[in-house]
Amino acid sequence: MSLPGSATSVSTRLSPERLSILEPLLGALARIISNGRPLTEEMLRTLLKGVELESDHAARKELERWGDLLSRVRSAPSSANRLATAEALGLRGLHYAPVLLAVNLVSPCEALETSAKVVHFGRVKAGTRQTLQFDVWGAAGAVFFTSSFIHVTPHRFGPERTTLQVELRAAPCSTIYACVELLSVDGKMIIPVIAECEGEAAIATLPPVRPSVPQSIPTAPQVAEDPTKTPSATLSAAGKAQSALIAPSALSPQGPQVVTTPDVAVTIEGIGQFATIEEAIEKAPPEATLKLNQGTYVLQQPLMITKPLRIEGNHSSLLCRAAGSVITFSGSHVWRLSQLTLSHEGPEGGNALELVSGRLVLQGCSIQAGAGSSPSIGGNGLVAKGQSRLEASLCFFTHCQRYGLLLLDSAEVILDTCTIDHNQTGLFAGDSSHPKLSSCFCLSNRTDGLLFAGKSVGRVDGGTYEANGQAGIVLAENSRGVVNRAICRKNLHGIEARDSTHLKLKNNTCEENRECGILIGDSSEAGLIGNICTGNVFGIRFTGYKEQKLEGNRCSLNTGSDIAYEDAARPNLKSR
Amino acid sequence: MIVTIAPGSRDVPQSLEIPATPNYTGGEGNTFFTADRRFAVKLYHTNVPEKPALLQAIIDLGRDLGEDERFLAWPLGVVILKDGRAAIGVVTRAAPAAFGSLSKLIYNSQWAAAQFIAGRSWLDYLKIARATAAAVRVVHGKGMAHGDLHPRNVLADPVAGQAVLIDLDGLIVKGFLPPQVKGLAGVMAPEVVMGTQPNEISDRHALAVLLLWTLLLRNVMMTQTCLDEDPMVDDYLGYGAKACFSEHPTDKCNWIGSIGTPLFRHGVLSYKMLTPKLQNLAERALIIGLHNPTKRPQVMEWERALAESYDALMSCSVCRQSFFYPYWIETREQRQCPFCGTRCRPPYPAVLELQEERAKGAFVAVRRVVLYDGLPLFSDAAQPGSLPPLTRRGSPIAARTSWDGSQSVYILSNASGHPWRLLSDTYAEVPTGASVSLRRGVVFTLGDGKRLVRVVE
Repeated sequence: MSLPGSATSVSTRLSPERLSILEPLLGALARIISNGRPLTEEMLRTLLKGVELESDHAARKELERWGDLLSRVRSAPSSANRLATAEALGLRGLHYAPVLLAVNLVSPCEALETSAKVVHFGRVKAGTRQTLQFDVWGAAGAVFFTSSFIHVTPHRFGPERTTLQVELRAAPCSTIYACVELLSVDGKMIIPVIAECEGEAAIATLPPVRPSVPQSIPTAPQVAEDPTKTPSATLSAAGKAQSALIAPSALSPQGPQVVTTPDVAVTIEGIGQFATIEEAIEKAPPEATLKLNQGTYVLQQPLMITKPLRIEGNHSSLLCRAAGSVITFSGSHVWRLSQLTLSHEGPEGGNALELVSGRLVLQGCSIQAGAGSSPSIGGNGLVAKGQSRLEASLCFFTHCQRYGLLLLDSAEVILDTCTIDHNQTGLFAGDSSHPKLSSCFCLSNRTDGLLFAGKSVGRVDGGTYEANGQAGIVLAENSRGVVNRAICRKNLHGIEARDSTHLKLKNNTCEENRECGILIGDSSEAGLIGNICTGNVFGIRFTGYKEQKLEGNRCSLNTGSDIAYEDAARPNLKSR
Repeated sequence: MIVTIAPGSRDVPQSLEIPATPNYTGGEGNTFFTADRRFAVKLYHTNVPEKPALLQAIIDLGRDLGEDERFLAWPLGVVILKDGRAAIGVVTRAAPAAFGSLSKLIYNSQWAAAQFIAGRSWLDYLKIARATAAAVRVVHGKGMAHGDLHPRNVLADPVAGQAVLIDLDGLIVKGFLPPQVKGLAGVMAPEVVMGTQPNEISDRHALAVLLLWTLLLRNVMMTQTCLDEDPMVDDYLGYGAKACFSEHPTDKCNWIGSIGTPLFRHGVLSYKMLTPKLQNLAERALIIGLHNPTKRPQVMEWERALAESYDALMSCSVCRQSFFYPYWIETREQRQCPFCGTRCRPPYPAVLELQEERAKGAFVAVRRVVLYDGLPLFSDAAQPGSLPPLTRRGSPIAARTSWDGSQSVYILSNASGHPWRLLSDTYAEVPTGASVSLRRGVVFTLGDGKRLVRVVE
């Protein structure tokens, strides 16, 4: 279909035959202009050669006109200009679809608008995470982002104003520069996300990292609350009932603790308000949603939850010093926890969370355990047992005396974009457990980052495993696993396999580890494909005796050897 | 004289004519150049029966050198007869006449100064060092070791800044080709002095000494104290168990008083004039790894650091020598030319940090670039994973630098043909022809999929 236009009013229009030959060049022009390249005579001549019209003066003039129109709309991409350009190109006899595609290509979609054109975090400390938000409106669509260092929620937006929250996890690098793509039916808008990271060395000394309250980008129309603001609760005498509210400034175990009591701790929609969490849980019907008022609640006794519930933490904290796990979930139910910090501390010993059975979904939670406790009791962030299933996203398992996560029996755990840091061991998977990690950070754990043992079957996709005291990722005993696209840096070993494990390592980067990038020992069998090992003492080292498969790995700048095999090791090298 | 070459040679005629008198006499044999100077023929003093087989093995290992062959005088053929009588020798390509022994360029500061007076630049020495590292990298990359790296085994052209590694007929392959010499005292690794066989790890030490000798125009391992009256024992101790880097931070036994004093003021160059990466490699090789061989850096690290250092060079306004602009010295007023001692003066060069994407969205610093008025930024600086080429003559330019006196800031004009993007403050596009003010903290990309730049100072 042609746009309505008067053929007679345009005296220099090309004949339909010549125009149909020339029309494919509209796309080429749009691509050139959208890349910011100035259009030159030489370029036009070259394009015309492609359709054998190089000697056609009128065709060159016509192409020049199209280029001029597209360049103008690119420099001033307002709705009115887009419309005018589309009309003008239509008047030249071009078809509707290529015209709109060309205009969309050179100028941002008119329908979609945002409160910020760029999300700039400024300088951030490596290892921390920060959140900014901006608004999008004008069309419905979806959010896409490819970097594992940013996370944007929600994933979809409507034509009305939607606030998108961009969470940045500052990697130990110099700069983060990633893009958020807003895709609507009419086109695409790209919002760059930029942060300058401060110092890798800072990782080792970082304080516990907790989910942060989002801040608005200064240019955004909505301004979020100050994250450091004390919750607006009524101050009264300490110790009322079984729960108490603590100002967020007291979150640090070493910090001053100002204990206050809220009039209302929990609200259950349709049921009522409750002064204590225990009371709310007791009276909540199955499947109810408990909404916590913001603050820190000190539990006198651990909680046992045996009915399906949803708890919205609103950035609150639950703290327990009594013996036992802060919350134990039992029963064949589904529980959902969001925006909640759970910590166990004190000499009595205990874990932060214990999942005996059923399914637990965590979103934006922070888990820590063991400050000041006996090292032999508890001290684990989360313990999953039996046939339980844990799904956690954007969570922190941090500063645990023993394991950040301890998986036993047949527990199945799916971690997406979680941070496991400053624990004795980041994650231990024993028995027949099934851990799956995607885009997780495992930093500065005192021994191993991940340890798959027993007959566990693990999978790691992406993520960073850095500055752990022993290995970034270990497979031991009879475990099996696939590690794909992980970055293992500055550990003792990047990835280690020992005992009788079976593993496949694909496209991982192991660099600057103090000994081996990848270490395969004992009777472990490994397939190593496309890994990059650089700046270690040994790039890939085999100390066992099983035949190994190596294909397309790249080892360089390792100070000892790029590939070393000893004893009866039998690597089968296809190529380096 | 006519020498006959054994079958299995690489592009060498079956017989070659050589002069009656050798062009060079060494410990192992006499070296002759053919009349057309295409080949060098070394005839051994003693005919060791196993030698032809060893040489043939080395020849075969050099059949796929490709472009890297320019750094090496790889053996091409085995001599089996001289004037019809049994003889053993090796044929290599002869370096062009402009090439001479590196030792004549660097033996001491005076000889080097004579080169500078003759118009040579320290930049040529840097190029020679890079070519030397490239040569050894090729050898090590094939799983071999040279075993006898020292200045006389490198031929260098100081005009073109090129180098060729020679004496490859004694290459070592562990388990196959044993070492035939131990090396030269003062260059060989301490453990070799003390009795172990030369290998790739001991080459790393020798190369570090050789490179620093080329760059600093002195042997940085030279002993300065007498450890024994017997010269043999003195060398054994001084270059063996008691070997010590002349600029060891705590052990001053080999320290020279004039280290750090400008060269043209009767001083000697310090390794602190090198870029931080080269300094780090020197420390790893000659302090940390001196008596701990596995800690020594690989040859490839040297080659990379030398290549990257090209972008840190500037020219002294007084003596015209090239030197690394010492951006690592905090106080700018203390930065000076290591040759004549002239202080760097404003406008101080801009220092940029190049960053590369290592994980999607995460950029890490890879190296620094020094820019000043009139200096272009070459396209290789924008390309992830790339190093400056051996020569930038004819290299494409990504940007041009100019000094804007009215704003007291350097301006970098985009000449790359594709737009850049400012990441700090604004997210503005910098199309071709537009420019970026190089103010401290400014961050910008050099194009999609290219490197990112942060202005350090």
